[in-house]
Amino acid sequence: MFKIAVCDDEEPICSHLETILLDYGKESNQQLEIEIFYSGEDLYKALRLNTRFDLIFLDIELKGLNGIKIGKIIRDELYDEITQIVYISSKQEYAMELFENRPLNFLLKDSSSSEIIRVLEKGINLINSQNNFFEFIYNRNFCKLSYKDIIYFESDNKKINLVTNSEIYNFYGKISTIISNLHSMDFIQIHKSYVINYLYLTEVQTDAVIMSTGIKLPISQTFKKQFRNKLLKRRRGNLR
Amino acid sequence: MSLSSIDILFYLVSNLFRIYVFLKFIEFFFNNQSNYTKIKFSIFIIFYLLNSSLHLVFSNPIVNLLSNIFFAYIFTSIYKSKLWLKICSIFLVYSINMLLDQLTYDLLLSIDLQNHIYIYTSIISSILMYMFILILNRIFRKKYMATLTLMQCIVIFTIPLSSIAILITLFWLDCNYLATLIMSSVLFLMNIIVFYFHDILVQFYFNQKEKELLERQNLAYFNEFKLIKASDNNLRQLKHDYKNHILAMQKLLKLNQIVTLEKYLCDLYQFTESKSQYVTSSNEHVNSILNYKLQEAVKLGSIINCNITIPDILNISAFYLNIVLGNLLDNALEALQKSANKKLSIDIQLEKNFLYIDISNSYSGTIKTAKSKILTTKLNTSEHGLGLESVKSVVDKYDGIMDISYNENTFSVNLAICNALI
Repeated sequence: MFKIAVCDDEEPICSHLETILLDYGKESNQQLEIEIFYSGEDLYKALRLNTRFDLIFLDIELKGLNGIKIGKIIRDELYDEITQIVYISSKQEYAMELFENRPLNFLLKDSSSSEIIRVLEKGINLINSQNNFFEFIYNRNFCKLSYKDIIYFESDNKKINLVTNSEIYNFYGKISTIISNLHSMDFIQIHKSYVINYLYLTEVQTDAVIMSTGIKLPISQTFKKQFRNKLLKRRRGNLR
Repeated sequence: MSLSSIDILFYLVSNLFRIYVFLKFIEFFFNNQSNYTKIKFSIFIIFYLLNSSLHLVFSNPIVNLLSNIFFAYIFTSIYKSKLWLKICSIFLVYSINMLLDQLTYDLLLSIDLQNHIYIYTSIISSILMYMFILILNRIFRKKYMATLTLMQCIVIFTIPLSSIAILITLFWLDCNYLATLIMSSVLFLMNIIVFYFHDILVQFYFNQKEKELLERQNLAYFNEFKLIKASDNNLRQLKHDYKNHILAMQKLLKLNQIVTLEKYLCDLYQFTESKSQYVTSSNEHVNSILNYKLQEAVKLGSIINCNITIPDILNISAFYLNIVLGNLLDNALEALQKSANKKLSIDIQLEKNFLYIDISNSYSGTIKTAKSKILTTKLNTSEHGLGLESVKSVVDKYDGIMDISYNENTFSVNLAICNALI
């Protein structure tokens, strides 16, 4: 069940997208719930009421609250790295600020349906892979966290710190066991003490990465090549 | 301790070698700068003459120590460096020298060699010190030394090792003292010649690498220049057409042929739209490089698939983008010329500050490889073939990763670099 939002002030664009998405839903037997917004303000209102979407097709050139500002609100005010944003625009001119909102992809308003479907599938795969659960024992309780809530794991002596947006779970464990329990391309080890969730990565630098919380984690020499290889691999999975 | 004339001769020869190695060791700390060779040589000669005379005249260990340190300091004065570094290096070299002396002395004692033990000690410990310098260079001056293979280094080591073995055997056999002196001098000479050639060899390889780098840079500048010329020509053409169009429209206006004028304007608009470039991303640099190269691909009748999502400004400089994209596309174009089914696809994306570039092209024929480096099939092998190497050096500079893969009909290069300011 995927919740998709389409936000564009041009009605024909919205209905065109909606048709394509619904057709795809029927053909591939996926349950898609589509909601349409004709202005940035309407979408913002829905977000403030705590509605969340898995994927938002967002027009960059909205009047008023435009795509850039809404993207910023989602990432920097709501701390939401899980909602996937696909920017739609009429011209292929992208300012650097758009990239800072970490969109999934960019589409032109006259994109073919196959291109739109490709982006949709990429988003669906990403969301599916993050819907798995990580199990661990915390305070003698058996706990389960969805992958999409985990920002990173940090090893601290013999214990592990599991960092999420709301709190840090501290429990006994080793990084190596955690890696073998995580079955996902999204979790990457960058240091002998750090395993990060790719979705919460905001910036890759030469010797470090910056996560969505602003924290800078080091990449060790031993894991550098591996890390970059994994990034390439992820991408190859995403290219045709 | 009265010294026979042979002792003195022996001492002079061994001191020559010892001072040579001593100074070479000090040179190691200052990055092996090999300018001022004449000055170094003169200091070396003066060091040797004065030091030997002082030792023979006074035979005083304190005098020896002072003279060694004094001349070593004079030697370091030709290098521009902080005082504390010079003092540290002299101290280090001297202590290692004494350490090696002590070790050799104990070794010779343990094999029961008492005659002339001081001379023999000094000879062997000098050779040991030189080997030590070679090892240090190998470990710490990787960039400079890594041009020689491990095998070559091992071969070079065997010369001093064998010399030491010969010397110890000679000393142990207690041969005629004069004969021993002559043998040792010959071995010294041989070692010095080998070391000298070794230095030359390393310098040669190093210069080769520098030359290759310069060639690559030149090629990059040349490409950039071609791009500028091409866009210049385009501009001139546009201006020329522009004038003609305006003249034509003015004429129509004068003759009050409004409908025709409307159609003319419509056609003109269509024309500018259709003459659009193959690539219109936000980034002007990438656009210009790609459009320039893609013209060729279109002329060959290839099917081009372009997917570019990058911002208007990248931290990676246009110069390096040019090297990467220019070289990769040049390679792709070469392959497309010879391939039957011409397909080219280019994907460039910026994600989380990491720039991904993927270029795939169809090709026919076989890929030539040698030592896991892909060789060029281009005719002018000396000029080309540096392409992928240049790209690799930029990828290394931006601490990125490059992956080359191919199957029977498609050749792909996938690379990713940090969007960093360097």
